[in-house]
Amino acid sequence: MRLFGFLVLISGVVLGVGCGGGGGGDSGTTPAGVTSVRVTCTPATVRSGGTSHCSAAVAGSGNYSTAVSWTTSAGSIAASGVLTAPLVSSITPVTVTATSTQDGSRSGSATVTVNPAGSAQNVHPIVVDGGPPGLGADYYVNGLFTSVRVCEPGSTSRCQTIDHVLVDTGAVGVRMLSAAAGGQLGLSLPAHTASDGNPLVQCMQFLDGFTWGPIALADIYLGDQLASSVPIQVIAPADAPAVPSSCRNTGGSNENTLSRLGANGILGIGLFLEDCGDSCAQQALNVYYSCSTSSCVETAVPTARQVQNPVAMFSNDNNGLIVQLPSIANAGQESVTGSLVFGIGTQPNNGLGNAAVYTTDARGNFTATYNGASYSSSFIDSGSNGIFFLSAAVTGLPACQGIYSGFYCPATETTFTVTNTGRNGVSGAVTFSVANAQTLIDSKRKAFNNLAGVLAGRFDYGLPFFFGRNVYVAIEGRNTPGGVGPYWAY
Amino acid sequence: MVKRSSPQLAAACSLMVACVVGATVSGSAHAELGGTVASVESDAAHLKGVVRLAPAQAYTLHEIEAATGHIVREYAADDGKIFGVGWEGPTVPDLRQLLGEQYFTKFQQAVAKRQSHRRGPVVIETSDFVFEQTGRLRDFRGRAYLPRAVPSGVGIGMIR
Repeated sequence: MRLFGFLVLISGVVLGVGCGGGGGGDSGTTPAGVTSVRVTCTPATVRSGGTSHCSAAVAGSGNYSTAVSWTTSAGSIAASGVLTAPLVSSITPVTVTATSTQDGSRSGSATVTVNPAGSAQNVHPIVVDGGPPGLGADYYVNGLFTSVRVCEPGSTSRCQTIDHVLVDTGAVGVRMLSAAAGGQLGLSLPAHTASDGNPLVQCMQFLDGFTWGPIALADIYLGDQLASSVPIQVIAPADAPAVPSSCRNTGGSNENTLSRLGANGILGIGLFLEDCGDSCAQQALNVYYSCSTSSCVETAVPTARQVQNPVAMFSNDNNGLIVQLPSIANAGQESVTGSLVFGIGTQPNNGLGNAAVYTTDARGNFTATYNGASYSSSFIDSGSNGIFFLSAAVTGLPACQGIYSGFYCPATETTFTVTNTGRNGVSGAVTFSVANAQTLIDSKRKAFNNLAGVLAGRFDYGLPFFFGRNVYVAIEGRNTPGGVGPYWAY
Repeated sequence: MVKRSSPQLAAACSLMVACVVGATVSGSAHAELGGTVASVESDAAHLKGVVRLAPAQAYTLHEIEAATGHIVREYAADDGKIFGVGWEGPTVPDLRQLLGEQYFTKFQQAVAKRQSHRRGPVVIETSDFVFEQTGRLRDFRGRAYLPRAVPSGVGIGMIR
């Protein structure tokens, strides 16, 4: 609750500054010269000792200078407008003022809120609520969503806050459905290019579909946390090239509308720094394409130019995150709220506590053992609607039919206990239950902790696994108090 | 980097009777479930892969290892007919090529009929066609087979 109030405060500041710009200062008899100075600082909230970038928009008539001098009520500010916040022990507003060097009577100011070290600047709300209202009756079951603020790089005014972006620990990178395709992203973002200088376009593959669209650069805010100039995918903009056959032949549907994607975007915050990794850096695969005006060809892309994990690009709290969701009723719930907490062991609110660390292999897999059989390629994925494991023959649970096929439909709820073992040898038992998927889905509720389906050969711990747990996602190569990522902890 | 040590491959090689390196492109041959072993060469050419043969009781495994990090396994009955394919790799391979037009279409139709906004493994089971795919970018795995064409005595568990 506190966080929501907090977000409103921030947007209030930004809106206030933005609205002030409309009038353009005094009217009528103003002589040539500076008429107004407006100041914007990003982020508008920083931690004790942190930095915020402030800029001044100087308006005037005739010949006038846009030069300003900066002052701050606390901390220090450079001639370039970079504020270094003071060290504080309680929440402290700092007023930053830019004064016209041409006309000292013209100035503007903005407030930057400085929070004490250790306060919850690293918490961002998440919700399971059926997805974008635009889906209507075709709502999303067990979809975890959040809001993401997207800005043109370096801008604090050309921004959009996009709601109902799917939170997916099974993927990496930000993908936003274009407004032209029924999503919300309408910013004009600078294009990312392939090594030959042509636009870089991606075929992002999921299990039953793909997203097709160019890679662009954007500033990504998750709450107060900023990742600057992040390569993201823009899904299906109006000017996207035709989908090449090697992308289309991956077989699933082209997720190029709101109803197909089921979300306004995808926030991939899995174990890795970038989406594809070394494979796509060393080979031209059917993931990245260099698109000239006439055709698209597969191209290799260095890892740093691939779609990036925004959490890894934060200036702080960038070694991983925690997905926190409460326990829910077995009958399901209409909605569930929780938090993303950024960083592991970087703040008082994100320590590992009693969580056990399960390291993974280079692909993000660990071992699940059930009834003496081991499945060494098992994984955790908030983007999976259910827990997917084994078969009807092994579990003894009947499979559902029709549109529910692939899920389990037992007559009575059944509990399973499975042992997970990290590549580090750490083992622990997890228990989950499986209810009748048809009954659950037909209840029209949106969040279930007991939705499960079949998957031979490995365990896919989807969203039900997250309810009642703090699940830690440690990013590859990053140090944490629990060791170096990649690992899961819970 | 994408090549990895593979105990399964080593085991396959110890069984093999032939190692075909850089399989020749066989003109119009087009791979598909239910097609003939000629399609393996087409797939190998498509994947720029190396084929290894591992004969077993009642079938022969043609394993294609591509430089892209993909491994494709095609299972041919003694009459030369492909009754199963399996794949793994960093991306989803060209399923139209691997399944053939008929079963690729079946796969697409079955996916379209599922409940909305399914995220998770794709499992399609019909009496004459089974398709399974799991994973995510960097680590996709799947298999498809024709239950009626699996030679008697061969367990479907070995198709991977």
